[in-house]
Amino acid sequence: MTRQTVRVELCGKLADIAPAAITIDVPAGGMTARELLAAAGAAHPLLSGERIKVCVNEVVVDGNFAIGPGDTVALFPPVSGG
Amino acid sequence: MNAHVALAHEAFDAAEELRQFTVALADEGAIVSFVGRMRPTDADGSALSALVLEHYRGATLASIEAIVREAHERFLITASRTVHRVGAVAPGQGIVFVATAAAHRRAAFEAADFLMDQLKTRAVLWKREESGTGRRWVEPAASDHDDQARWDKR
Repeated sequence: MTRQTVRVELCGKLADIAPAAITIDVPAGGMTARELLAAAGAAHPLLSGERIKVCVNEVVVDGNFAIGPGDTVALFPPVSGG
Repeated sequence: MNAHVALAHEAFDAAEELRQFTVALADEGAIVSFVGRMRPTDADGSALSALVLEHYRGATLASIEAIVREAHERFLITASRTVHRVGAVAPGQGIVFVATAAAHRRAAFEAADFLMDQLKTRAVLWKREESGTGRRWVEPAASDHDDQARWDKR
């Protein structure tokens, strides 16, 4: 079986502490946004923390959201406009 | 909903934005506009060369559209115009333009105030101050969260 991965884009200051994108392995049964964040944090300690939000296909999702290999995933640090 | 929402990749002309907003209105009695501009110094008074606003795909525009939709649901405004810069903003340039129109002034003032408080903490943007000596990411201040929370109680 081929290994399945998802590419995770890093936004804002997160792109300063790690590359602009990282690759996370996806288990055969898929993974939740919470599990993805935990995997990202294990790979790069600075990517852990409850202030980081997971964005899937351009929408911020909650921890239980199921992520698959075809999804466009990004990690958001706290946002600020205006 | 008569709402214009746009991301500007280049400097915008606030007077022209207000003109375009105004000419499309009917007989509203109140128009409020706000322009947020880049200050030339940071919180410590050190000179800045630019404020860079990073955005993310369609999520940034969608986040601003959601805020504008809320403003239209919440206040008796008939129209709004919201323009937010992305990319490198120079000192003195506009960062954000917000205009609202209503039959009477209170709704127009409140909607513009609401829009700005929400944009500060909810728009999908990341701000970075750049100076001759380096760069620093700017996150919402505690006061920005307090400003946003004012609207929760109503």
